[in-house]
Amino acid sequence: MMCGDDINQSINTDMQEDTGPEHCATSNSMNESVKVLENLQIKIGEAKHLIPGNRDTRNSYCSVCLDQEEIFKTRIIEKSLSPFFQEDVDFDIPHKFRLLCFNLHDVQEDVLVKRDHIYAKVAIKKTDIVKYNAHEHWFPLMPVESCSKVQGQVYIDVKFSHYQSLGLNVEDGHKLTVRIPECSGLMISSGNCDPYVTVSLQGTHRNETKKTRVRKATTNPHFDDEFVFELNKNNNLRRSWFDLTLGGNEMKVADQEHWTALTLKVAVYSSGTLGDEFLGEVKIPLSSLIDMKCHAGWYLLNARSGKTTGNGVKEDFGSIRVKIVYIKDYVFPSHVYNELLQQLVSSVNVEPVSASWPNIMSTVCGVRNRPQVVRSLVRIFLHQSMLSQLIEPLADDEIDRNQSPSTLFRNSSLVSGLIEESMRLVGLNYLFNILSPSIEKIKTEKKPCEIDPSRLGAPSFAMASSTSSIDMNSQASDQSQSNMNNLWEYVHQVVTAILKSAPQCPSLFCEIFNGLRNSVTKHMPDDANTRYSAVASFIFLRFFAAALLSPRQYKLVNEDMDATSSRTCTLVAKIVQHLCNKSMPKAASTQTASYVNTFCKRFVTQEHLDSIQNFIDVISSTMKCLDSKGRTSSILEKVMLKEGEMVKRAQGRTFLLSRKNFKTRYFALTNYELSYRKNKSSKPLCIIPVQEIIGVEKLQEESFRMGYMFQVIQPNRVLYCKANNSVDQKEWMDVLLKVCTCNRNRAQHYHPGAFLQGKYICCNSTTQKAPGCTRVTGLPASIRLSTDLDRELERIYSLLSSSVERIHQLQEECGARAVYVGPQLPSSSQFDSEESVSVEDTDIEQSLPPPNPNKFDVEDPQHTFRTLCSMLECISTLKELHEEYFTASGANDAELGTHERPYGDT
Amino acid sequence: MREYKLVVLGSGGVGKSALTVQFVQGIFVEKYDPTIEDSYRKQVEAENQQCMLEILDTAGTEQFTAMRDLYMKNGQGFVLVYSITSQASFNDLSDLREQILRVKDTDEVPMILVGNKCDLEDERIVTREQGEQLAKEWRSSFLETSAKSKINVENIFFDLVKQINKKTPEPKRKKKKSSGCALL
Repeated sequence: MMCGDDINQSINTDMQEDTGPEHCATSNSMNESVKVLENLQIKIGEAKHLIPGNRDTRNSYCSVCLDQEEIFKTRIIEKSLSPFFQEDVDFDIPHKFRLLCFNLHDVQEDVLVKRDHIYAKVAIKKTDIVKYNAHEHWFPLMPVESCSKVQGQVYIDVKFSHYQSLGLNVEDGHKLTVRIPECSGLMISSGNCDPYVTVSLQGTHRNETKKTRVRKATTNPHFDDEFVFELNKNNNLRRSWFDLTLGGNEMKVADQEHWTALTLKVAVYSSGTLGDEFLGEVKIPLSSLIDMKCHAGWYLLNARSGKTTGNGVKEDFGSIRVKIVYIKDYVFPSHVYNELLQQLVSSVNVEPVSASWPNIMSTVCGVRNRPQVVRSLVRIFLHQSMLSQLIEPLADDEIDRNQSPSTLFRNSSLVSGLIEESMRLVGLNYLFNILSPSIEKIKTEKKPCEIDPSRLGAPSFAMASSTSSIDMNSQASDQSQSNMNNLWEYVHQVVTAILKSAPQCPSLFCEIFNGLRNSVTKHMPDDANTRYSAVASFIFLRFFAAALLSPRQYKLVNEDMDATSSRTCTLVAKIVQHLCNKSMPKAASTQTASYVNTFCKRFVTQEHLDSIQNFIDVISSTMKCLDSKGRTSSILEKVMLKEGEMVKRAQGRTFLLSRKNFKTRYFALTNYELSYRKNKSSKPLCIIPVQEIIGVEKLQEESFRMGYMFQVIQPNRVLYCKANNSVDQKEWMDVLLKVCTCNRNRAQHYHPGAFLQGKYICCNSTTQKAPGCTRVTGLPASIRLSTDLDRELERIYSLLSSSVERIHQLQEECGARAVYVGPQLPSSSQFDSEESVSVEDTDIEQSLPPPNPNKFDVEDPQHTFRTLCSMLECISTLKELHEEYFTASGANDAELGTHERPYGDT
Repeated sequence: MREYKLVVLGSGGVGKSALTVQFVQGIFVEKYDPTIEDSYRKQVEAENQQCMLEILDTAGTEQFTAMRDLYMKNGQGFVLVYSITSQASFNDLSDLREQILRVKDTDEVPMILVGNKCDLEDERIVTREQGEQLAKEWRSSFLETSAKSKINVENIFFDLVKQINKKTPEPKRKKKKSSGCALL
C-alpha cells in the first residue's frame, strides 16, 4: 500500500512541475493523460440442451453481469429448453471487473409469487476473454451451486515480527500479525449479506481462531481488527530442549520447520438469525510466506476444500452461444493523433481513389474488420464535417467500376457500409418520427396480416385443426381477405409517413444521395433507372426496410416484439420494398406469381408509385444541399424549419401583477434564427439568433397552470411559449433542439419552473439569473459533440497496427508491379544484390500477369505505395508512444495480488 | 412426406432469387429486385421418394444479418451462392459458412457451393478451379449454374436432399417428431 502511495505522489509532483507546452510533455504526464477505455460488444445467440425445471421446461432469460452487477438482460423466452435470444448489447465498461457472467434465469409465475432464479451460468474471466474475442463460441453452462455460491475476494495483510520474550527463558520469538482490511464482491445469499471474517492458525496440534465484528448489509465490508498470533507457542518446552542439545543455529531451523506445518485460514461468513452462512475461505500455508517479512494482497475466495469437486461425473448442463468483442483503447491526448488525422482527412482527394487511406485500410484490415473500420471512419469524418467528401469519391469510383447497373450497390462494400453507418448515426431520430407511430399501432392492435397462403393454410402452423379441409379453405380465403385489408392499412400508414417526411430528411442524407445521383447520371447518362435504384438501395433497402425488419436494433422499440407483430413488420417491409422496386421508371413487369404481387395489384395505384419516385427525387435533389465544391450550402441559405402560431409570455417579466402578458404570435424558425411577429405577413417583433438558444426544455405545468409549454433558454433570459398541443410542442422542441445542438455554450442546468413573483417556483431561488437547479434532459447534445475523436483515431491506429503484416505484403505487391509497369520504386528488394534484381526483372517479364493476382488488386502501385509508406510512418510513431506508455505504467498485466488479478486465480 | 428445409444464402445480386424462382416456378426473373425474405414450397420426387421442399430465399444485404442466425438454426441444408462475375461475392461466403457451422455447432452440415451466372462467361472473374478448390476445402459439393440458361438449377436442390438423407436418414416416426418441433 505504501509503495502505491509513493508512486502517486511522485506523479503528482511531476505533473505540477511540467507546465510546458503539451508536445514536450514528459512520459510521466503522458501516462497520466492516457485514457484507458474498454468496450464490450456482446451478442447472445441461443442456448441448447438445457436441463428442464419443475415443469419439464423453462421460461428463460439471460442476463449479462460484470461480477455481480447486472448490466443487461434479454427478453423472456417461454417454454423452451433451447431458447433463441439473438440479442445484442454494446457498452463501455464502467468499472473494473474480474468475471463476465452470463446467467440463465428461470421465471415461474405461480398464483401469487413470481419466482426468478438463476439455474445455470457461464463465468468468463476477464483475462480469458481475449481467447474468445470476436468469435462466436458455445460455452458450456455450469450449474449454479458449484460455481457461484462462493465469490468475491478478501484482502489479506500479514506481517511477521520478532519479539523478545520477557519470561524466564530469555529468547527470540516470532509473532504473526494479520489484518483483513476489506473484502469485496461477496455473495448475497437469501437477500442479505452481513459479513464477518474469521482468521485461524491451524496445525496438527493447534487451532486458534479469532473473528472480526459483523458488518451490516454490505458485500464490500471494511474491517479494522488486527489479530496477533504467537508462532512459538506450545513449543517452549521442546524448544528449550533443542536449545540445550543442539545449540542456537539448529534451533532456528527446527523453529522454522515448525511454522511450515501451520496454515493460515481466512474464512468469510454472513451472520444470520438462522445460523451463519459460509461465503468462502482462503488457506495460506505459512511455508509459502517464509521468505517474506510482510505480505499483502487480494485473494480469491474459495469454496470449502474437499467440496470443490463434485462426484467426478461431468454432467452436461447445456451450453450457450455467445459472441464477445472486447476492445481496450489507450487513448492518448489529441495532439498525438494530429498526423494520423491529417493524413486521413487529406487522403480523400487522392487520385486514384483506390490509393486513398480509406480504401487501403479496408483492403489491409480485411472483410471481417470492415465494420470496425467503417464505424470509426464515419465518426471521424462526421466530426470533421467531411462525411460527404469521404463518401462521394469512393461511391463515384464504385459506380465507375460497376459493370452491370442492376447489381449496383447490392454487394456489401466499403461504400455501402459507410453510407449505411452514416444513415444509422444521423438518421435514427428521423426514422423514429416516421416509423414509430405505425410500429406502435402494429404492436398494440396485433391485427392478423398474414397474406402468404402457404402460411395461412399450412396445418403445421395452425394451433389445432379439427375442422374439415373444405372449411379450412373457405375460412382461409375469408381470412386472407381481411388480412389483406389489415396489412394495407399499415402499409399505407408507413408509406404515407415516409412520403411526407421528405422535408425532414437529414441534410446529410440529401448530400450523400445527391452525390450518388450525380455520379450515376455522369457514368450512365442514358440509364433512367439506376439513378433511382442507387438511392433506393440505401434509403429503402438499407434503412426503412432494415428498420422494419429489426425495429429494436434501430431503437424504434425498446423490447423485442411478439411473433405476430414482427411477422407483420416483415410483411410491411416486403411490400414497401416491393413498391419501391416497382416505382422505378422502367420497372420490369412482374412475371412471377407471388402473393405480394396479388396484394399490390389490388391496392397499389400508379399514383403511389409516382409519389415514391418523387420522394426519391426530392431527397436526392440539389435543392437542399451542396455547391460545386461539396461544402454544405445549407449553412448559407436560409431554410424555413417550422412556423406557426403559438402563445408566448412577454420575456423578462418578473411580476405576476399583470397576467395579461400572454400574446399569440406567429413564430418562424429557420436555420439562422427564431423570430415572432404579430401575424405571418407583418415585420418581426423579436429575433433570437440560433447561437443564443442554449437550451430547450419543457416548463412545469404548475408555472402558469397551462399545458404544452416549453422554454427557450437564452444566456440572459428565457422565452416561455405555449404550443397548440402535445404534438406541436414536441415538434417545436425537437426542431429547436436540433438547431441549437451545435452551440458550444449549451446550458447544463435549467429551471423546470418559471420565475414568478420574484422567485423560481421550482427551487425558490430569488435571483432570476440563479444557475439552473435541474440538469438538462439527456438528449444527446449532438452526434458531432458526442463523438470521441481521439478514441476513434486510436481505433484506426490499432486496426492498422494489427494489420501491419498485410500492409507490408501490399507494399511488396506494389513494388513488384511497379517493376514491370513503371519506374522503380523503393521496395523491399532494395537490399538485394544487383544480379538478383535483374533476374527478377526477366522473371516477371516472362510470367505475366504479376504474382498473386487475386490477393490484392493494385491499380496504381506508385500512389498506393506512397499511401502505405505514410501509413506505416504514422503507425510506427504511435507505436513508439504506446510502447513507452506500456513500459512506464506496466499497463500490460495487472500485478499478482491486485484486485484484477488476485492470488488463487488460476 | 418428408419435409426438407433449405436455405439459400449469399451476397446481394448474385441471383439467389433467380435460382429459387427458376427451380420452383420455372421462370427466369430478369430484374434484380432485392429480396427481404421469401419462402417457397415445392413437391418433388427425389431419390425415389416424394419430398416437400421448403426453400427460404434470403436477403443478401448485410443489414439483415440478425435474421440469418434463425435461418441457420432452422435450416437443414444450405445453398451458398456467389456470382462468377464477382470476386467479393465469392470471398463473402467463407464467413457465412463459418457462421452456419458455429450455429449448428458441428463440422458436417449439408451444404452446396454454387457459382451462378455461368452463362456470363465473358465477364467471369472467379475461375471454376477456385470454386472447386473452395468446395474441396469445405468438403462440400460444388456446381456452376445459370438461372437464366437453366443450367444445373435442379441439381442444386436434389444434391442437397441427397446430402440430408445421407446425414439424417428418415426416422420411422418422423411425423410426430416434426410436429413436436414445430410447436416449440
